Amino acid sequence: MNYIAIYALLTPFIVGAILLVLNKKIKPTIGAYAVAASLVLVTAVDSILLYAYGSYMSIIVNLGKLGSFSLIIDGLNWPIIAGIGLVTAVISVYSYPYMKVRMKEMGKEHEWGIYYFLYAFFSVAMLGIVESNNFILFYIFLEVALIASFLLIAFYGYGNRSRISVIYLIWTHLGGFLFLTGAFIYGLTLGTFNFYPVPVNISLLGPLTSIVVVLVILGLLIKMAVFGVHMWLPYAHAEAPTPVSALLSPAMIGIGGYAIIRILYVMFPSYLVSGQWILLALSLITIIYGGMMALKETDFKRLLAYSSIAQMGYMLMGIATLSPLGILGALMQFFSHAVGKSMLFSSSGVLITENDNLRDIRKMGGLAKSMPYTSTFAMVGFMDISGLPPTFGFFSKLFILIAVGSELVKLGTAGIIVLVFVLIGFGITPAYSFVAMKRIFFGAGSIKGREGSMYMLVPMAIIAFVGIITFMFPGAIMGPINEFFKGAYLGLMM
Amino acid sequence: MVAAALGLTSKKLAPFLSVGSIFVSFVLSLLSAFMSKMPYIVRIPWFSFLGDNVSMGMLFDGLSIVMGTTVALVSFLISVYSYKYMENDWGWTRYWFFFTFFVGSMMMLIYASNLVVMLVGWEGTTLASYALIGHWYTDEPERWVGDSNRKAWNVDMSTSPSHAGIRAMVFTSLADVGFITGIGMLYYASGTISILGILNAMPHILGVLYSRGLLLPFLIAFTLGAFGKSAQFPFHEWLVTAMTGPTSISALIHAATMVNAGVYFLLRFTPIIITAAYVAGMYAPISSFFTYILLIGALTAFMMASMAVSSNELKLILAYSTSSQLGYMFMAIGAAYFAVPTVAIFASMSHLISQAIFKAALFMAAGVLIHEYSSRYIKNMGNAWKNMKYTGIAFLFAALSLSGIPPFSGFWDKDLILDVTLYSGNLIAYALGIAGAFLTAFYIFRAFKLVFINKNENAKEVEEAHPIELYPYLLLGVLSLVFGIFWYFPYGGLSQIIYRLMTYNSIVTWPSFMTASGVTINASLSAISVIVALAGIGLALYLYAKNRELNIRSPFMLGIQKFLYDRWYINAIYYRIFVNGTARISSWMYGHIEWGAFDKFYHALVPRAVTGLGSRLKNYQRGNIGKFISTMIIGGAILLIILIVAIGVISVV
Repeated sequence: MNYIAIYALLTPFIVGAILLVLNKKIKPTIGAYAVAASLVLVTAVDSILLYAYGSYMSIIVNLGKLGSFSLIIDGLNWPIIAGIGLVTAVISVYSYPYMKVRMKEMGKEHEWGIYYFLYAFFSVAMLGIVESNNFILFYIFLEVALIASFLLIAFYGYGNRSRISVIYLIWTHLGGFLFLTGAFIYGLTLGTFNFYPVPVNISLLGPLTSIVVVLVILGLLIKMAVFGVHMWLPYAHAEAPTPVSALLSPAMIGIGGYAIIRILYVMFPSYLVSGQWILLALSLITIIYGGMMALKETDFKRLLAYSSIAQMGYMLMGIATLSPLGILGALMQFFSHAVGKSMLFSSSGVLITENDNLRDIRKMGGLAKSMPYTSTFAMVGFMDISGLPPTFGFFSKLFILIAVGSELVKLGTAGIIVLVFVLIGFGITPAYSFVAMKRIFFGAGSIKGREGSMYMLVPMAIIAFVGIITFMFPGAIMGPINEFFKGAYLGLMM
Repeated sequence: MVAAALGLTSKKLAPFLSVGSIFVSFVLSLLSAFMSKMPYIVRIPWFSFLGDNVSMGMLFDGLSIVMGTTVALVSFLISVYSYKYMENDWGWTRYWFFFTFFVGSMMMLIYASNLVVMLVGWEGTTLASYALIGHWYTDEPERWVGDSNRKAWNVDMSTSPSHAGIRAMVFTSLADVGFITGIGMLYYASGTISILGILNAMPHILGVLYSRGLLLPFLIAFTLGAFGKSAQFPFHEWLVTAMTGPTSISALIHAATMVNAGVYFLLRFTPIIITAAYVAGMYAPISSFFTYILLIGALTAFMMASMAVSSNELKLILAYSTSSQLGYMFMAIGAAYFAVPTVAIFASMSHLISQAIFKAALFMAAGVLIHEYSSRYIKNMGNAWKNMKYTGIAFLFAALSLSGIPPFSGFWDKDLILDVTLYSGNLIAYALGIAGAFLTAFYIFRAFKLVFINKNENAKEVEEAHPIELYPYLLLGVLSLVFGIFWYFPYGGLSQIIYRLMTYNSIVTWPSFMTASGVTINASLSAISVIVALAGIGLALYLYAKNRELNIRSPFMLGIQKFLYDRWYINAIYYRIFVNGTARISSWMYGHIEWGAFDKFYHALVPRAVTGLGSRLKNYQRGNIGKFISTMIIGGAILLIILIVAIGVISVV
């Protein structure tokens, strides 16, 4: 039983490797289903383990001074696992019709093995990052995911894809480098690289603590693409092939937020308190700035990329409250963003493949009549990111705002200023969402769209269904987080 | 009770499911009024967060039952009406889906026993209104609202359906953020989100927030959602353009769902706040809060009535009217703190009921008229009385009720509202209220005269409405008379029943000095309001005795007319300042900061600097990739410097 999580995690790697070897000999649909099935398997195993054990930890190998390579599944990463598992598995099927068009365009029709190999590695490495309980293991998985996604952009991206993929690679490595530096200071001083259990001798770090915290948080904020270090994101997410964007945008960047919670919030709560103002201000600026850019942007995929930046601001805001309520909101924000944004990127993908690379919003309008399903799913996606019921986004917005409201009371009269900015920031999301909805799908419109195939619509329908069903039964996502806070950490947090 | 949104099944079945479920919820609401034990709470477990359980709870007390019954009745009649009205519409199933969703959300909001459930219903109505206002999303010119080429201060005064939907969404959801943040503050201070829990903890909550200097900001933020939803100034603009939806939806939004939600919210929470303020002995901030509600309500009541005077679109007149009537309800709520609270709260509720009845009748009649004349402008209508007598009767009854003429139901409550406003001692509000009442009578009889009585050569010949359309609004028109008659007689009549239901079956335990044994009417004050209303009607009938349009010549009057017609330039101001301002800021930021600063710095300047450096040292870099790898090194070095500074700053702090 102890190794089951790691076996599960290895399956998609193996499936990916087999697909690479077979390459031209297999049918692409089989590849799609195989990857999807293996990813579903991982998620299912993880959820069973979580259900059975409450919180689960398995040590793969002990490395002495490096600590132990171990996997952990508990309430903190359950929403992340669920979100990534859902999106990667479903988008795997979606990417078949999309990549068929894209590969034909590029004359690379026989690269299905390579594509699905990279896809599987990218997806499962993200799950690995989330489950790892050790700085080094975390970084190894991160590296796998980065390189796989870098290659996906470099091979199949749009625009000046070699330049953009390098921008992506450098930026994310800059983040990774800072993170790793912090990790080394931590690990070499304490003699362990583990996150959990929190080392008893953590006070040994002494004055180095602030260096570790700042290095790690800067590295992760670059990953999250908050305001100031966001510039790489619109490039990478807009020019990546759309299925990859649908993975990069909600899943990959949100991991940065998750890691802030897992590493810094749990291990160094008191150090975050001194920087709380900075985090809160940064999150507000990110939300408003991302929203403003999304209002202005005319390229649909870049618009979604800016919206991702704003959504990361939401997540950061939940974290910045440093209260269990805010953390709950931030983790749920990851899941709801995964659902909403992957659906939105998928609908932009339908526009690209079925309607001659249609990306410019100025050329769109009135598409709802000819593309009823795509527009419905896009609508659900926009509802989700604006936090409207009946989608799960309602809860994440609710809990983040409740946490912020509590924080305002603590701030006293200064809270009024924050309140005004919160109003602007959270008001801007429905504004850009529904303005975009109008410009793309409603209005008079001069062109007639073509609806996507079943391979595209069914995956989107599945995501939409999950988004709505989790609204009705939010306990599926929230329950484990509650359990987590009920456990040993609670005393530490407050 | 919560009518489930089932509509997406089959084309034929959808309306029946919808109408049927709404009817069931009406019957259940009505039956629950006879429950022996009230307040009564039903709890269905839903989820829990951090140890707090949230249930899909329903709270039955006098207030929610009265409100639920009214909403369900009116929605039911509108749903019957729209079965015919929306016939052959291309968005038929979508229409029924959102219609049911709308009513269901509203019922959820009304019977919610905690704030999360209430918020679900609340946001649900926002979503449904967005979808239904933008129902004809293909934006054909005849679906727009406003004159197509009219501009005020260079801002278009016409709005397309999809645009109007966005306006509804943005205005209300902006206000909702305040509401949710308010919930957060409540939760921090009390640790509960259930309405009963808040009721018990309210004195404590007020104390905590007061000690932090946040009481007034909290109250304003918490009720901001209600102002947005009920289209009070400065959020009134969305309701005006919401006229782009099908008329049955306008009736639904204005009479049953959506706008009443804000009033209901205040009716639910102001009693709690008033009694808590009494318990906590906290008067100053609470009193300024209620003065603020009173004045905003009065301002909206007057302002919107004045806009209605000059409007040329039948539905637009009614839309202004709704916002204005909601202003009266807000006035009563604001006055509640200063007058006898239970009476003022009752006045607001009963005006909500009357408004629901007559406004639904007016809108449904207007819908038929618009169909028959194939125009939304009253200049294309006329002499409708000849062929549409029953519609005329319904319209007339509703108009009389709206103007506040006895014995129609609108009379009793508008009068009561003006009474309590006067008792509150705020003469500005009272003066605005009286002036608003005058304008109300004027604008609605101007419309009545022009549409039904005056001859018009341009108008088409018309026929009476189909019975499925006619009976619902005829019934409502007659109801506004019947309710009016039984409102006060015998033995206090309906008003007494509802008053007792609301006061004694309330979750709030009123201190005895805050209640009155019943509702009484001050005869001399009623005389004033009736005279004012009659004067308004008289003026309308006199000015439009023969002519179809007033022949205004003086530039001053023309200026006023333009001012009113362009909605006090508020729309223009919003667009000039907020919409264009935001657009300008965002495009400036997009051009200068995003591309000009960030992109140039990171992706042009830094690489170039590195390239320059590199080529001087060694002819090292090969093409793009080398450039970027050197960037990485230099960028890392720069960041390290920043880091060291940051660490230094933080460790000093």
